[in-house]
Amino acid sequence: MNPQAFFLGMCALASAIAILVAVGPGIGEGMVAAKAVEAVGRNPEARSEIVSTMIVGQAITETNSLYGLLISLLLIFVMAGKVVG
Amino acid sequence: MIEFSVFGTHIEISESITSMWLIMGVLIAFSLVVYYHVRSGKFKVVPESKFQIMVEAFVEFIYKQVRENMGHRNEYLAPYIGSLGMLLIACNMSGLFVIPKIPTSDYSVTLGLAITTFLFVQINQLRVHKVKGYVMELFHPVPALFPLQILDKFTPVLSMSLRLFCNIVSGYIVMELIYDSLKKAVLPFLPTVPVFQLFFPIPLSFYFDIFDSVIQTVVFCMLTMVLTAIATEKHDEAHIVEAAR
Repeated sequence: MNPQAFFLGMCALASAIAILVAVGPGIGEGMVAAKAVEAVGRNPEARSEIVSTMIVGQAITETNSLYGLLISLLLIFVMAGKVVG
Repeated sequence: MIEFSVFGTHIEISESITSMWLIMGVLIAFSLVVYYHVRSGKFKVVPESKFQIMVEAFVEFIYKQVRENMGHRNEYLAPYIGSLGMLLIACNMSGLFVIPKIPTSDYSVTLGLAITTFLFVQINQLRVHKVKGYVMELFHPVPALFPLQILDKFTPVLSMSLRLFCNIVSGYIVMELIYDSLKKAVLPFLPTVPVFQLFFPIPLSFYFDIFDSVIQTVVFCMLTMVLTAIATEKHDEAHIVEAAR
């Protein structure tokens, strides 16, 4: 088998598997949003504070899925780019 | 990329640094304008001009956040938070304007910012607790957790730098891909003009260039403030009395 083709294929496969880590924070952030909606329903006057807290909390949780995105982008644009030239 | 040789050594200044100089130039010019207005008496004690009201609102907002998150005794640290916030918002949103390279899309820049915050937190902790308190803190709950406490000082550097870098770079790459793919879509009677690039990227650009920049700035500054508040917390009776006041 052509080693270059094998390497590129493995890079593509690894890149796709790396982005699967976004499942965790996706579910977590959805649950945070659900709790925030519930809290706004219970106390509509505190809506802006609840929404700001939710956004900040979700932005911090988002980092974990971004680690996966970083690996994914590095595999495609840097590793495969080195081979293709 | 500015390259020059001085005394036999070859120095290269990357585009991120020159872009950052442009942004710093704009921010410093703005600060000098405000300084001139204050010095020459154009800012009155009872504000009259809209410019003065905007500037005062911004400064009061920063001081209020610092007081809420770091406590009243840490209010003198507000200038660092304000400068950091202004620099980060300007750097992250610079993709909307003409700039060689977005500074925060270079990992060296975000790592530098995170290291600056790390030094800020450690120096404030040393200032409050002195060296003995700082070292005692490392053995605080159980001496066996010493490696974890050491690690606890360095993980915010990694996570803050990667968070800012990944958000800005992924936004930039997605926008590039969208513009690139819209380049192929042309109207049949205008074969070379990428007409579809005019309208469709707007909501996505609003999310990636504006909303994401502001959120990442807020998260970075809030993490700096919270880490400083935890590091400078005093653990004695006087603190409980002060907190109750």
